[in-house]
Amino acid sequence: MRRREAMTGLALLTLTAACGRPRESVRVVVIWSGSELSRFRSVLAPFVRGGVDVGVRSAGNDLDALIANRVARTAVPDVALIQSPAMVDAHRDRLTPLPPARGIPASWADLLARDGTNYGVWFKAAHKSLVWYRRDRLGGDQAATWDQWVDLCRAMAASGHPPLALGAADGWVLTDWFENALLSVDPEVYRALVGGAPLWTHPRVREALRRVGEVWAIPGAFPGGPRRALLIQFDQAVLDVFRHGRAAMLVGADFDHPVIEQFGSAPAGWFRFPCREGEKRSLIVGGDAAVLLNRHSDAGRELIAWLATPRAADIWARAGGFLSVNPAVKDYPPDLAALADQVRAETTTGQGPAFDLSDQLGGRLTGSDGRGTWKIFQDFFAGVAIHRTPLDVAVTRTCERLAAEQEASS
Amino acid sequence: MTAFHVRLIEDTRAPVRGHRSLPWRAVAYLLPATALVGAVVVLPLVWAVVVSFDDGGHGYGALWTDHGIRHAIVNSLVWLVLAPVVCAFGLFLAWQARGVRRLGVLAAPIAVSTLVTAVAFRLLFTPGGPADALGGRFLGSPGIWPVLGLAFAWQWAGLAVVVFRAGLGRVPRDLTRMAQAFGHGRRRRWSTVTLPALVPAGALVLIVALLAAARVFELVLITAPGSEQAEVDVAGVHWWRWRLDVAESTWAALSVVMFLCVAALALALLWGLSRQWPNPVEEQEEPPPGVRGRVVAVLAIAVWLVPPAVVLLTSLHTPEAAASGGWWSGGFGFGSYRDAFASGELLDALSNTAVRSVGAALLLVVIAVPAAYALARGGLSRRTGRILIAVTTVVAVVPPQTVIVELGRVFDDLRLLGAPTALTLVHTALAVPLAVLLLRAAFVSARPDPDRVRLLDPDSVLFAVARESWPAVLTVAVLEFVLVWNDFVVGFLLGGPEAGQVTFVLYDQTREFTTSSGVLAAGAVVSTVIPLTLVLGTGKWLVQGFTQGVRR
Repeated sequence: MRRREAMTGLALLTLTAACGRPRESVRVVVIWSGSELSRFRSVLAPFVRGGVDVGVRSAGNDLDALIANRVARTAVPDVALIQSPAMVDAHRDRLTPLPPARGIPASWADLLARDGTNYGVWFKAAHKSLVWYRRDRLGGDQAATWDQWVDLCRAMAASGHPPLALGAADGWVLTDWFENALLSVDPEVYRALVGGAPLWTHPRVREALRRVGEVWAIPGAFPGGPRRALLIQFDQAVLDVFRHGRAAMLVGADFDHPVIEQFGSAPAGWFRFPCREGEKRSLIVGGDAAVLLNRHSDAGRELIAWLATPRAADIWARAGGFLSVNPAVKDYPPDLAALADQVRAETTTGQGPAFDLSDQLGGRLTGSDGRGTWKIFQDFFAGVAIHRTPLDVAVTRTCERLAAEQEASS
Repeated sequence: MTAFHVRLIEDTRAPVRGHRSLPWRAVAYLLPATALVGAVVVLPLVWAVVVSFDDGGHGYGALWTDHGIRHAIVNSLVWLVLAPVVCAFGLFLAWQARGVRRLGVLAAPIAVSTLVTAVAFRLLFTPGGPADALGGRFLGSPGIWPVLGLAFAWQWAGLAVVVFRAGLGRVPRDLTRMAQAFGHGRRRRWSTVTLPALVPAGALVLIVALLAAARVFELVLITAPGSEQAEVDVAGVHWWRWRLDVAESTWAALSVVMFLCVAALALALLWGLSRQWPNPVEEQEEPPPGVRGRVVAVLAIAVWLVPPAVVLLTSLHTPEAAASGGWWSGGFGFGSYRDAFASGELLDALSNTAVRSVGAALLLVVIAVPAAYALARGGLSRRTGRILIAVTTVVAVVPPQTVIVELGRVFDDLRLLGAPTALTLVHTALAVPLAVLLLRAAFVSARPDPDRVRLLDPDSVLFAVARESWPAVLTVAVLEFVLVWNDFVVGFLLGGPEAGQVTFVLYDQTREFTTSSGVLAAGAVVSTVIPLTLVLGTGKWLVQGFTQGVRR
């Protein structure tokens, strides 16, 4: 009797668990978490009210691994917001062609097209060539060139005031520094590396590494020392500057803005990542594009179409920390509108946007916590800033490691 | 003065000779468990062995030549070694504080998910955090190791304390006195009387700790900052990060090697489980605790309360205050809780997780009870019984990461993955072996009222025994509920987003740890309340259930 009851219960349980998907639903995976994730949810809200369930999951820094889920292809989501055009190449066989979105500059749209077929739709762009600073500590005009900026950092450090906060526990913070330096030093080498050329031991790569290494090696550059810098993430670095006043500046991106707004208590200003005289100012961009992983998901298509509209973009743009390459999006906070213009302007001219290099490297160089470029640059940082390795030695070691990992992947 | 006394005890065990039940009944009882575990655990493991030799065994060579993999394997072995160390520490605490009541609270962390534990210890040791003032950068190398070790000890040592404490209370004092009378020294008494009495329950705790050590995944993923991830890498995490860059045969080889390591350790413990205590020991009067015992107990409880206090206080701050000031400063408010519930996702995840946990717990009882009964009293020959127990022990400690790759492939082809039902089945299957071991130990020593049993059909013996051993059955159900509720890695790798596991919602917040700490802490508190209440509410019986097998 008891057993029969138990079995009936079990059967019922299995039955209810098996048939539970009444509404149309779509599964989305993103890299955002925390406040960015809530912003994204507010972008989705009008779409959800339209009658589709949207399950959002943050893959953290392991989005790549999740999309390529070899464990369970059926566990792969319907839609993903990818942070790199390189992921189109990596997962092309799983992506569904999409109609190109309207209003997006051709140079951006091209990043997601392969052989004339469009695979994604840009939702969000990022400006990753900024130095945020406290207006109550610095004037924005003190660091017009790279050398002036380095002198300023040295002078502040020597006087016992750490100039820079650095969230080096996030490897991408360090690679962003390097990419900005390299793009100023030699845009051609930068683009060649994006294309997969084996140039990691090139003299210009060495020069860019030397440049950032020189700043990282300044004694007293970081509050609490470089060991602490390696343990904190970018959001804590923002707090270090704008809430605790432990440092005066940080190299960052437009998406630092909402963190400053929510948690900061000091007036914030920004200037562009500096370069030497005669060089072109770097502008590294990042971006998140929506791709469709499940070609049977109509709800997924509708969702991507919604994300491509200026109306959807405005919801997040209004809150800050969001740029769009679509000129129809206008609802930015006053201090960010200029950044959106820059991201668009520099791409409509010239050769197209310089998309974040490390986000486009595949194979063993793919960066994530504990691996790829992230780890290699953290080791470089530890070498020059903590262990006081001579800069040339550290640069050589890093270049060789990058080259070796590239070699091993091919 | 009477040094020892003699009592007559009627042996009411199921008769071994003459009335041996038909083997087909035992086989039928074992069948569901065998089928489920075979399909979900054993088959994938066998398949991993096959795949690992795909390229003529080169996969095994790569385990040594790839520095990253080698490093991860060594780290995983360190974790496995840590499990007995933590149990020994638990025994030490239990011995020091013997006689003290109310130590049960030390075992409460088994109700807390590893993910929440990781959050607690990261909050505690983060730069600028409370422990940072003690000196040193804890989350950096090499300080990160003690932090991870402490987190693990916090979670599992308490269980060892409680189980060993119960065991110590049951050490036959007559025998101790006898040994004393024969002039045996303290060490000899410890090794001949006390330790043997502790071994059966101790082995079970050790297996639980070993399994936890082999499962280590999110503890590393969340406690260590990105820059230290490579340093503290373990096999499972390494596979998750690098799986696209290394040949499949190498991963299969890694699975096989990790499984062999765990299995070897578990088998070494087996003699402990199979040992049976010769005489029943009645509840004895415990000697009152000494001053030192009390001091140790109070200190232990105070230390144990620190991590939960940090999480609770952090959650009671506004997100802004939690991110910048920490739990010891001002800025109290319920803003973090409001934010945690704002998206509605947490609430959905709570209900999803609850349904899955209850389902898995019920299913586990239905499947494991008959199997355990067959092993305990099914009339199987002694030899068969021993072999089956050995196999069960080995299967009990299979780390989920080991079978998940191959399992995923099979489930994928059947298009089962992502289906919540499939996930429930996997959870159940992973827990069946351990449940069977625990229940068997209890069933062996159960003494159902013979008059009530004989009149009824043989099936009723099963129910009578299960009824008699209800604390063990309850223990199995509660532990499974807690295990599934707190799961991260199985759902993460197999479930996909619609698994809607509550730990996923927390994990979503960990990418920007500092600015999310308030919301994260609030979510951690909410997600912990239910399993914690369950474990604390049933705590008395859980200890009984865990140690029931020792009675004999």
